[in-house]
Amino acid sequence: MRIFISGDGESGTHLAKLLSAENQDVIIMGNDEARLGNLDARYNMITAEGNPLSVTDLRRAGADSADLFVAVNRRAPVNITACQLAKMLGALSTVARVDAGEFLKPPTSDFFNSTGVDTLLFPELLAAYEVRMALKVNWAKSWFELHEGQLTVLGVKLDACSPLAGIQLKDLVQAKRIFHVAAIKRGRQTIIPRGSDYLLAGDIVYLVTTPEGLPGMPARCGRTQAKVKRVMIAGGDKFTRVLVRELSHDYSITVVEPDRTLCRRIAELGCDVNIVNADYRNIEVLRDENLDSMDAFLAFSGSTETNIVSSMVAREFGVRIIMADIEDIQYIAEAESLNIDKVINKKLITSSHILRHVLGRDVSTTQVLSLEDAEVAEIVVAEGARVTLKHVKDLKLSRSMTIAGLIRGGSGVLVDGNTLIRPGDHVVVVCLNGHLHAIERLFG
Amino acid sequence: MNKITSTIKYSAVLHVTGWLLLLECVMLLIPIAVCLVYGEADWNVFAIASGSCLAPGLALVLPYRHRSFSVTRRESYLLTGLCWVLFSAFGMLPLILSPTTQLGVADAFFETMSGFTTTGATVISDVDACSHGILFWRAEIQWLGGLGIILFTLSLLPMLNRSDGIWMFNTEVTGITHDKIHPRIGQTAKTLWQIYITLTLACVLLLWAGPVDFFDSLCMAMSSLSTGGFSTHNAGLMYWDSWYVNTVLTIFMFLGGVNFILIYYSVCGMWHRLLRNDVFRAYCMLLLGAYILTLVSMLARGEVSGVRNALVDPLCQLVSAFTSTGVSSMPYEQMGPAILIVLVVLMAVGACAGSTTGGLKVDRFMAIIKNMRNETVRVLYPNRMRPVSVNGVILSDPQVGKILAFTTYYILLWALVTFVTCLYGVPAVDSFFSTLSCIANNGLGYGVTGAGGSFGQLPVISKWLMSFLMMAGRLELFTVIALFMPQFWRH
Repeated sequence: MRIFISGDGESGTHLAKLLSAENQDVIIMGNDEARLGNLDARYNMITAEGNPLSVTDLRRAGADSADLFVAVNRRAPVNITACQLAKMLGALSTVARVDAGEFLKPPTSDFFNSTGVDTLLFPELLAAYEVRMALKVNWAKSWFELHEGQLTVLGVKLDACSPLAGIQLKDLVQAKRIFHVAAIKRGRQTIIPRGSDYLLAGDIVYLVTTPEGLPGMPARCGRTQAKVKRVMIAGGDKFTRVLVRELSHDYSITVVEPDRTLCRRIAELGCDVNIVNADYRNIEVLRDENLDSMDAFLAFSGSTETNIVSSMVAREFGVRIIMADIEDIQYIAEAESLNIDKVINKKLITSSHILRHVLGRDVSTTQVLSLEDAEVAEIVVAEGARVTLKHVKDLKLSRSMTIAGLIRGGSGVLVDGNTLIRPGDHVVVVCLNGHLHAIERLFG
Repeated sequence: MNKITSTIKYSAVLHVTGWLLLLECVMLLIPIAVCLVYGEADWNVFAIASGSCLAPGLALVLPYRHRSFSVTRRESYLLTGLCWVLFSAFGMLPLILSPTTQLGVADAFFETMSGFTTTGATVISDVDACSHGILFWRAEIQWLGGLGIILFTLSLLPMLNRSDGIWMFNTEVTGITHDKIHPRIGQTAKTLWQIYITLTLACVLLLWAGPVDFFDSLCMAMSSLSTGGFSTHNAGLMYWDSWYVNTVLTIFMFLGGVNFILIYYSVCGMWHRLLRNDVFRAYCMLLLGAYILTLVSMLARGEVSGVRNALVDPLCQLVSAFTSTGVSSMPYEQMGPAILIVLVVLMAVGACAGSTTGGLKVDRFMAIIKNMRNETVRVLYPNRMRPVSVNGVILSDPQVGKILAFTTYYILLWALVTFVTCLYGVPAVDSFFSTLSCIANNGLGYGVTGAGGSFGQLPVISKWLMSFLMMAGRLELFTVIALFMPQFWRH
């Protein structure tokens, strides 16, 4: 698929790298010569310098023949106009990143749809959904439901006292199977595990489980679901405002923000929320606001470094759940090693959303999630596909993938070596980034 | 996956090298077929060579086949350098073993490197005595080397269709900047090969339609499109002595010197991109200028007699020198100093980047001339901002700096090897000309190496040095010279 990305900021470049690893034809247009030069020298994509609103530049770079046009420039009006121009030139489908939730609501969104912007993305809202999910299911680090919950993909961080830590996967299989270990993230590396691999304390383990297995999962992983009522948010910019609107019905929220104007704008939302006009780096203030009795602490100020440090402070105060907004992609692995329960990165969330959008358009692959270095895909097995010929253990599957489970007749089943996959099954595959296309051939 | 390391990952290098050897193993099978068709006895030398590629190839590929690698900057330089040396090292085996050639190691390595780098300088004085298999092998290596071994690999091995491949692509493709036709490197490589194959087939058919037999058409087409210049007969083009053959070859050598991406656009109907291209225009203008000078010299010496003598032969000779093919259509050694100078300039400059040619390339030459002009203006107006632009793209100062450094290296290496060759008693002009011929991947000879002689008469040390120059010239110096920096190996 030919994908045109307008905007060479962090989201744009990250998305371009992801898509290029997926063997899509990527063209990225921006105005940072050095950054584009670097991309051009290292990755499978065409880079072009140009103005996102110049029809000449768009056409020269090839926006007219794009199957998907993605605009992730800094400013929303630029993105919207760029999408409209691209559509006019002949791009088949367009996606614009916007900076206000209003754009997504019906009369406005219908208007934009009718004028050439097919999909509008508001990163803050996508991130807010993610935060809401993480608070709701707070024993797991990440949580995706496939096929209305028939299979669930969970990411859990193992600590030293977890019953799973130190176990070799071979031994795990002998107990009654209620889950499948699909991937392990160890430091910066993502592993698709085999029987000989061990689960270690500090790993983030991605598990796939069925509805029957789900209730027992927290205990198996050595985690408990915490009851969350009181939430403190450090930082009060746009993301916090979106979050307050999303969360204030279910939680008691305290926002700490040093800027008076930003505090007033949160108050203007009219939600039931405590607003503290003080510096969140001031520990005295946090203590006065009862940080020690908070259930969750969300470090969502604009600065990554401040977020990491205030997360550490909250941990010292004994807060159960800590989330931090880490906008520098480089720091994410470090932040995860620092005992932060959930790292939020709006750029990653947006780009994985777009990736899902792109890959979801393939006929056979119905749904795709991405876990940083790995992907989860649901693929419908075609008649006569190679995987249907033998039992799973005899298929000699590549080491960069695993078949985590399948949905047959509407209900989820885990897969082991003796499973025979049938045509019509929806198979859930976990694989390392960039291998999905090769894998689809097995099922087609 | 994202481990932060700066050490050279030798396992990755060895793995890809293994694949490349397997590729050469397959390449060596084609001459076997040729030998069998002509009923020649030396098919077994190709079988031996092919087998000796197969064994180490498999030994390197099999142990690592389940692992994934990432090739980055250092590995790609090492790989590209290694690949060109290894290809020549294994490719020379038939020339050593075949009873029709029986070359020594230095000669055979020189000959093979000369083929892969499309230099076309030969050490074999009696080409007519070579078997068809050997002749075809010489044509085949030129043809593959012309567009590039790595580029060939990129279009075949999907495992390199990633960032790894781009690093390698950048170390082999010529020019100041590297354009991509297609977002994916494998597709770009495939498109370039399609153009190349189509042009070659067209050339074969046109030659075959004339006085040339099929085997010679095939070999000459491969040799001229790749701007290599190995001939299948001692007499070179004089063997056919036909204006038709010379004209056809001139056209295809000329095309071989044009940036293939421009040819692609022209094939797609975008002629204006070719005609409006500064470099292409400069290429044509330089050729025209050289032709006028040659004609004046010939008129002054009273050597003009008829259309063929005044138009076809000189143009063929000039295009052959300019595009670094290095076939001769007239006795330029006896035609006076003016023509010799014109040839030296054309050889040193070389045709457009992104083609199969050698030398400095017109692109760099334009940048150097513009930079020179700008610096001269700045003597009077120190604050003038005068950009160096090639094809409407303004080159950054580091790019201009790199071009100047490239030129300096080029001249220094040229001077150094000329000096060494002179020390061994080769006349100054001959060694000057022959060294240039190697570093510019040209293949024309003069005096000792010229008509009646061959590069085989040079001292052994010069053959090794010139083999190095051919490779350095083909990979545009920096790729090869970087390997000699201590920092490359230290971390």
